[in-house]
Amino acid sequence: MLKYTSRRLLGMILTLFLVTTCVFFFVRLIPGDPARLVAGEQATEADVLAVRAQLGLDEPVTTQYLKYISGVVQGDLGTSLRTKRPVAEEVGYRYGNTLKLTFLSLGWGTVAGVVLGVWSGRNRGKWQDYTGMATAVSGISMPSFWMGFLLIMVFSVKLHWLPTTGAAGFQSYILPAITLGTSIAAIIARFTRSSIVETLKEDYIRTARAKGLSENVVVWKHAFRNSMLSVVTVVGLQFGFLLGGAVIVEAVFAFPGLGSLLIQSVNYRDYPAIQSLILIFSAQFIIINTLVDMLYATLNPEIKLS
Amino acid sequence: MSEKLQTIQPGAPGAAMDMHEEIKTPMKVMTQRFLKQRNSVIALGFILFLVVLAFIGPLIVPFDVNQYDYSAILQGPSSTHWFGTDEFGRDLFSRIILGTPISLAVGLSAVTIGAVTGTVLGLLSGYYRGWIDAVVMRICDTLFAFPGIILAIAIVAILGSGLYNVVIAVAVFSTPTFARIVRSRTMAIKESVFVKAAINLGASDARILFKHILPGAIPDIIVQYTMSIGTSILTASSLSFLGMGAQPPTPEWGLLLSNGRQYIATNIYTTIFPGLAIFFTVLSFNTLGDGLRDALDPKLTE
Amino acid sequence: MAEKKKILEVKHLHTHFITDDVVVKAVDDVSLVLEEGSTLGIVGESGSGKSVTALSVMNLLMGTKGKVVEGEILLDGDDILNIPESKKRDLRGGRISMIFQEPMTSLNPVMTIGDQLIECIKNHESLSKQEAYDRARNILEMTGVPRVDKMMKEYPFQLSGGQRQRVMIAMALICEPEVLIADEPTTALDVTIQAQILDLMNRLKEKIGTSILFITHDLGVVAEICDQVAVMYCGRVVETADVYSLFGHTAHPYTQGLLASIPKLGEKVEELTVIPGNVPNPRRMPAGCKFAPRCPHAFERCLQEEPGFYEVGKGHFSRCWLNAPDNEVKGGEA
Repeated sequence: MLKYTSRRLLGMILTLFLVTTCVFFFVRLIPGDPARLVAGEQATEADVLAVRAQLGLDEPVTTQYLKYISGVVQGDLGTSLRTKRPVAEEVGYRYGNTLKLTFLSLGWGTVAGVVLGVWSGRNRGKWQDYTGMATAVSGISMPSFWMGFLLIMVFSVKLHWLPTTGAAGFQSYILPAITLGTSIAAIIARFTRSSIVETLKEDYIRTARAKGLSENVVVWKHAFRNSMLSVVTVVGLQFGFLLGGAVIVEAVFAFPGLGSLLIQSVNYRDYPAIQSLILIFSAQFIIINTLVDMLYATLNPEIKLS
Repeated sequence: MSEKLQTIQPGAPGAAMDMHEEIKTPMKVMTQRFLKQRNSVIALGFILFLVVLAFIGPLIVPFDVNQYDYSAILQGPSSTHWFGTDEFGRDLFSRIILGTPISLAVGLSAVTIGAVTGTVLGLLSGYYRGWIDAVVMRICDTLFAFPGIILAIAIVAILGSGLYNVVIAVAVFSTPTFARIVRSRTMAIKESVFVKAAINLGASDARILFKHILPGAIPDIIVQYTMSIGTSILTASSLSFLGMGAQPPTPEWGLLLSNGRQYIATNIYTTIFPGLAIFFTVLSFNTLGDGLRDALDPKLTE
Repeated sequence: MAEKKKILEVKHLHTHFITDDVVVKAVDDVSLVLEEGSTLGIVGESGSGKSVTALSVMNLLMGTKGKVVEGEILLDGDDILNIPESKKRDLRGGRISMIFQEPMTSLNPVMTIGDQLIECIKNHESLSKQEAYDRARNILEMTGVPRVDKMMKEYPFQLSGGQRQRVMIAMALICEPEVLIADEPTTALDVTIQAQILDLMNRLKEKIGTSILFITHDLGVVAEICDQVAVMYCGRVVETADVYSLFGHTAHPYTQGLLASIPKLGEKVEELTVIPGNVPNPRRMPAGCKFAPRCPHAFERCLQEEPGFYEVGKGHFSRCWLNAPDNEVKGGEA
């Protein structure tokens, strides 16, 4: 178990490192001269050169890279060209919101997805299965920005129950969380269904029924407990999707999170911010996936005890 | 008791196995299985309808794509304007129809590029293993480390907005999926007896790859291809929605929705109809993909 | 000799599988009697319907396309076929239980052995946590596994095939059922382990007072532990007898063929004896006697008409025209 854990952690660090490097060089490819942007339209060449020096952009790329890496490790994510303040500050302010939204969506999506998937899977071929899977395939086909609008139209504009935008108070999280959660619920439902169908074919399910256990116990305590291992993996991967999907939903609901910050930064060509944000998204994704792998290992007795 | 037993009496009714069982080719079996699924057939029909619409759209639309009419702005559906009008008085119905070839073209081209690139990478890395495999897998892992949309946004940020760049972005993030699928299929087929026999008989690598391995991977590729089109249309419209994809006055569906967003209070139809267009198109591709997957290997979801 | 109580009676059971194009009669009019305290063997090739018969008795056909369409099943005189689902469920694992052929995959991989045993008994009897644990531990110990306490906490993947089968037996017997159905429990095990398991089943049968319905294709095993035997072919019972009569005065040509095909130690033959041909495709069953196409003694009547079930000795019946009382056999003779 220890060997497995240390191997995974090592792999994780390696990937993180590769990703950081990629992001750094990636962002250097963005057209447009940031020094010129910062200096403004009225600037002379001398001004631009001065700004460039000030931003440290006149140094060789490798030096910039090393400075960046050492900065990241110390928690310095650069200075935003747009706000002139440390990127880390803006991130810190918004991070909490995004995190809350992500967990709410994940919670709603996982519960809905699992329940729908198990319901469909245990009734394979019957109306419950068709209904459940039709719902799921609709869920993954729906553009999230459209769904967001529909919800806004119904619940905010027409019924005035919930706010349209912002992150003030719990109510403003509800509609975004439902929107985000629905697409992952659909994916989880589809996956859970096929996992349950497969598991119910196993011999130990026949044994469980032969013991006289009720069908609910057979489905949840025996089948689902085995499917859970792979469902957990899928849920973990959806976390990554949530981080990406959040960008759109945050735009729709004008939600002050990391996603909308990314969009603003891209539109402004604020590349210290873009660089660090992409790094944060990827790092989160990688770390979560590694944690999910390790969680899988704890749940699977074969790996835990070997 | 242990005397020699007689052989079967020939001609005994029902004795012999029926010699006239119809032999069905895998293709025929697959087609029959596919046709049994009503939803997938309907989906395929709808997609074909869209393709036709993409071609004949410009010929049949009642209004031009940019026909302004300031006397009729933000109207709801009526007999002249079936889907209503937008903020410039342009007919929404016409604009949506004219947006069809855009979404289809973007979806199909992006995924085709991704599929071809991914397949080649997958074949090479699965067959030769060694350092090619290591490099390709590292690249894929790095690409997978970015959530899809983020990667697309990053690429569009570098290349600039516009539909061509959206196609490139989507192609880039579709490639690793295909590479992985083809790679694992390649590794599996390579181990099979008939490939080993071919190698022993002196077949060249190219021949093995194209005649033996690739055909075995085609079913998986086709299924993934169809599913990816759905994702790519969603991504492309999302990017347009964010202002990074299609630019006005292109009647791309995501862009139409983004335009309509400001007018939600006055006219909800400018957001509803483009969204429906995206929804039904993506739904058809996903349903088709499901149907193909079931037809190719019914044991998966039986 | 006093008549033993019939603990399980199957009367004219018909189980059909309904597929898209055709109805397969997996069990086609099967009748069996299991006497209390004895072991009834059901012998047949794959596809003979022996497993489906067992699953029908246990009501374990869910998840398949099979359905019992006709017949009666009596457990100690009680009808167990035409009762509500919930009552059928209560019986399973309680009054009648079953063990299966594949011990390697028949246990839930993510639950400990102890939990799986306890789950079974708690489902049928209301016991405290400690009482349930003790019962589980006891029955497991009776199966002869080493280090019982350790095993209670272990997971199936840590056990060998033989050990898993012992756990299955323990799980089947923990509620002290009246009938235990064993569907080829030793087929997947090594021969040496096989002997141990058979011995274990015999001992526990005595100790707990369970009667056993033992399904197998192996006549050697039948000779060892069965008291009565029923031979099945194509969904029907073709011969039934006590074990001595079956081996000593075999009546049906199919049974004769089965016995003849077992090579005997010390006997040198040029060719191994086989029963020619194949088991018929269930979708295209022959008219007349189902075995006739492969039977060395078949004559015209066999191909046209199904024989009845005729008595050839005390408690010994055979489904063959050759065994019909003389005045039933008209026309040609072998």
